[in-house]
Order: sequence, then structure tokens, then C-alpha cells
Amino acid sequence: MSPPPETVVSTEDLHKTFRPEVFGPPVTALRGVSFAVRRGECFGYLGQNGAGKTTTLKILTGLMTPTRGSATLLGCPCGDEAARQGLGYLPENPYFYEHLTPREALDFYGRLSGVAPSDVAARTPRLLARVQLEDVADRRIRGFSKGMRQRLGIAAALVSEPPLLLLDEPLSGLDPHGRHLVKEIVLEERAAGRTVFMCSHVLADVEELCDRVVVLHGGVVVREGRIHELLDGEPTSFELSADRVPPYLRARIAAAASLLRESGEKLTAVLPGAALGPELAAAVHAGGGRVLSLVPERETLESWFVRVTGPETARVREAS
Amino acid sequence: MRDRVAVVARATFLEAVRDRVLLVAFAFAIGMVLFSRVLGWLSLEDTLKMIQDFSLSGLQVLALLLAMLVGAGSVAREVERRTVYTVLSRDCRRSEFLLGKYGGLVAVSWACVLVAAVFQCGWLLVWGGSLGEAMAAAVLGILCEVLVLNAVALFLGALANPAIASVGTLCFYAAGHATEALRDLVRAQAGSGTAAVFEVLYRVIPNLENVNFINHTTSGKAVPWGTLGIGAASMVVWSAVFLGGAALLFRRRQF
Repeated sequence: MSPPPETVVSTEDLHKTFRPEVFGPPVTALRGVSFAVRRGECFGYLGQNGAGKTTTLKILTGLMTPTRGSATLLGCPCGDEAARQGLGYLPENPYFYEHLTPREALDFYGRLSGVAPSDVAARTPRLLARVQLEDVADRRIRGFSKGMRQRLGIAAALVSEPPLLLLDEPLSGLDPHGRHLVKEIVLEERAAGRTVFMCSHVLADVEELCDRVVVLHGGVVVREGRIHELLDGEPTSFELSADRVPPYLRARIAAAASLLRESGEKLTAVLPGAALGPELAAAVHAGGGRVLSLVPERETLESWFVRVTGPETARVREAS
Repeated sequence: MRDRVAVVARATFLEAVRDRVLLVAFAFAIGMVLFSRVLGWLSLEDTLKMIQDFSLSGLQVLALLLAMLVGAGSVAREVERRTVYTVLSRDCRRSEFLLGKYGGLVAVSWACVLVAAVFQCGWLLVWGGSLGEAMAAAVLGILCEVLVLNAVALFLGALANPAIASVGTLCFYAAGHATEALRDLVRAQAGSGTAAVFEVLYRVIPNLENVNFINHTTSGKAVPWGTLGIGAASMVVWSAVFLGGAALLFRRRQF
């Protein structure tokens, strides 16, 4: 038996144009998207609404065919049965047969994926407990909340124990407990060696879960890399706390700060840029004041994302 | 492959039998069977003949209602509700999905028609009637009609939304039962354009009268089993044609 491929998901110059309405104008959702996901990594696929994330997922799952370019899953062309065999897919806002119960739904998806009925029967209680639906295992899905459906969707994606999980907005519609639970599941699955490919708008969660991200904007990949590499760099600002600051320095700090809090002798200021914070801290120290703390603030994934998908990026791309 | 078709068929069956629409269609058919006695009182004809005629027609209408309300929307609804995403992204071919849907729909329709037929037979016996092979032939004919009606409903459902697919199934039912009569009606005008049109329609639309044996039941004619066999075979062939067409359309569909 050949070893599992190191590249689990790969797309090459993927293009997709379609007509949302029969006589409407064509829409180009993807314009030459190329990326690769390695085995065992948790990969974040980011983009604004309409950036082409769901279209990419539909191509990967075989629900759509690309207009141009190619994509492979687990070394097989997308849409092939062999590619789908190793895939657990959670669509955005998953829908189920309303009259089935979670137990029946897992039996349905498990057997559809070729899992032996005895194995499905053994896995079902475990999975339902894992997504905290064991108490409603025999209740019809019809009355379920969005969060319950989402958790059932995760269980359905896991029932065949696939090596690759494609999760479209896995944390959408979940309450804090549900989000914590799903994040734990994602981390456990990754620790078990599975590859996780997730699209999400909740960038704090992506930052917490993913090793690497691709940012899609207007159907084009605008950034790709490891999160710490993308975010590492000079601090965007410093938070300086000090007391006994000489009046002339206090005025200088107040003029430069983007945020200032004063409480008696003590002041706290957010100083933009990478140089100003250390410079003013040194001046406070030299002037006889006491520096209580100087904390660098780095860009979050969210602010980075807003920057790279903002109108300026679009203008630069248009121009090029 | 067989397993996956059976899995989809089982889910389709469970979904359909738990849906309120099925109950409504079934209640309508039972209502027609019960109402047949009232017609028997009002009619100048033989009461038992009216009960047989009207209640068997009720079974035919039940088969049509199930195809329209359950069958026509079954694929289109899956696309609308996006349940199809979670199914087709698995190790399941689109043709297997359609075949499974078809199997589930036929199983539901057959179960309903058979239960209603048993009820109808009991009703006939209550009013002093008897059961013969003509009755069996009529019910078998309706079961054959179920095959092609659901195949057409699925074909249209793979093409259009549930409402259009339902109306299309109704049109097919009406045309399928009328095409032979219309052709015969205008045959006298040999050489006319109308006759040619109806001749073409007769050739291209499956003739549902080939499996309609309700008249044999009420008129006491002997059952031409050979005719029923040929009719049943033609329904199977037509069903395969419509299912093949649906599979072709569905294979190319982008979700």
C-alpha cells in the first residue's frame, strides 16, 4: 500500500465562472486560485463574504466543477469517488433530513460513506456524547436549534473517521459552550493526525486553531503563510504605564498618544508605531519618572485581515 | 453500490412516511373509498360497481398525489434545503442517489396503495361484493403506474423546482391517460394535421391506459394477463428511460 500523500489538498489555477440566474450576467467567483494543504495541518481559508470560499469548497467536494484549473484531494482528482472516500464535510449551516433522529442521521451518513453497520452502531453513541447530543439522540432533528444542528453536522463529518475534514464555518451559530466544544474537537482531531481545512469568519478562532492560512479576496489568493509569520513583525504600538512623569514629558506623551488614561500621578498611554514607545519610556526614565510597564501590541489576525482585504488591496490588484 | 442505494432509499422512505403530506394524501384516498358508497346510493347503476369503480379511481389518484406531493419535490427540496451537499460529498454517486430516492418513493407509494387497496377490498366485502382476479389486475396496474409516475416526477424534479415538477407530473398523468382516446377520436379524420399530431403524441407519451384495468373489474370482463404483462414491461422500460434522463441531467448539475 502506498503511503498517504504529503499534500492532502491542492488546487492549481482554479477558475470558476457561473450564472446565478439563467439569463443573468456571469459571475467569476475564482480567478486562478492555487494553494496546497499538507497532511496533519489545520489550515484556515479566509475571505470576506463572496470572496469564493464556499465555491472552492464545493469544487473540492465535487458539488461543482471548475471552469479551468484542477484540484486534488488526497492525491485524487476532486469529484472522484476515491477523493470523497477520505473526506468529512461540514457545509455552512448544515441541513439534515428533518424527520430523522440524530442516531438515524449518523447511521445514514456512516453507511453512505461505506462504514460497516456494526461500526456505525459502535461509533454513534460515542460521537453523540462527544457533541453533547446523547440526550436528544432519538428526537427528530426538525425541532433542533442552529447550534444543535451544527454539532450534529460535526458528528456526521466525523462518523467515517476520515483523514481530511473540510469545515465550512464550523463555529457559526454556536453559543460559547458549543464553540469551546467544537474548538476542542478540532484540536483533538488535529492531534490525532487528521488534516483540518476550515473556513471561518471568526478570526480569533482561526488564530487559535490554525497553523497556516490563505486569504482569498475577490476570487484571488492575496496572502498565504503561517499565522505567526504573517503577524510577526514590528509592534504596531506600545502601551506605556508610568508615574512621577515630569510635566514637559506628560505633555509630549499626551500629544503623541492615541489613548491616554490619567489617574493621579500615574498615566497609561497607547503610543502608535514601533519606535515612540521605547523612546518615551527612556525619556521618562531619564527624567526621573518611573516606568511601570511597556507592553508591545502586535497586530491581530483580524486587523491584519481587514488591512489585506481592504479597499487599498483591491485597488492595488486592479492596477496590477 | 447496492448498499448506498438502499441507504438512500431507506432514508427517503422514513422521511416520506413521517411527513404529514403523506397522511393527507392517504386520508384523501380513504375518503374516496368511503364516499364510493354514497355514490352507490345516488347512482342508478349497480351499487357494487360504483364502489369498485370509484374506490379504484381513488387509488389511482392516491398514486398521482404521492408522485406530485412527495416524488416531484423530493430531489428539488434536497437541493433547496442543501441536504444534497452532505449526501453527494460522501462516497455516493449522483446516479446512486437518484436510484435510492426512486426506490424509496416507489416503496412509499406501493405501501400506501396496497394498504388503501386492502381497505378498499374490505369495504367492498362489507357491502356484499366479492374479490376476483380483475380486482388484483387493477391494483397491479396501479402499482405499475406508480413506477412511471415517480420516474417522471423525479426527472422533472431534477430539472425544475417542486411546483413546476408537480404540475408537470399532473400534465403527464392526464396526457398518459388521454392520449389513446384522443388519437382514436380524431383517427376518423385521416390525413388531417390534428390526427397526425395526436398520433405522434400517442407514440411519444407512455400510454398509462395500458395498465388501467379498472373497467375490467367493473364490467366483469376476463383479465388479459398477457396485456397486463406487456403493459407492466412498458412501464418498466419508460421508468428506466426517465430515470436515465434524470441521471444524465443530475450528473451535469452544479450545486
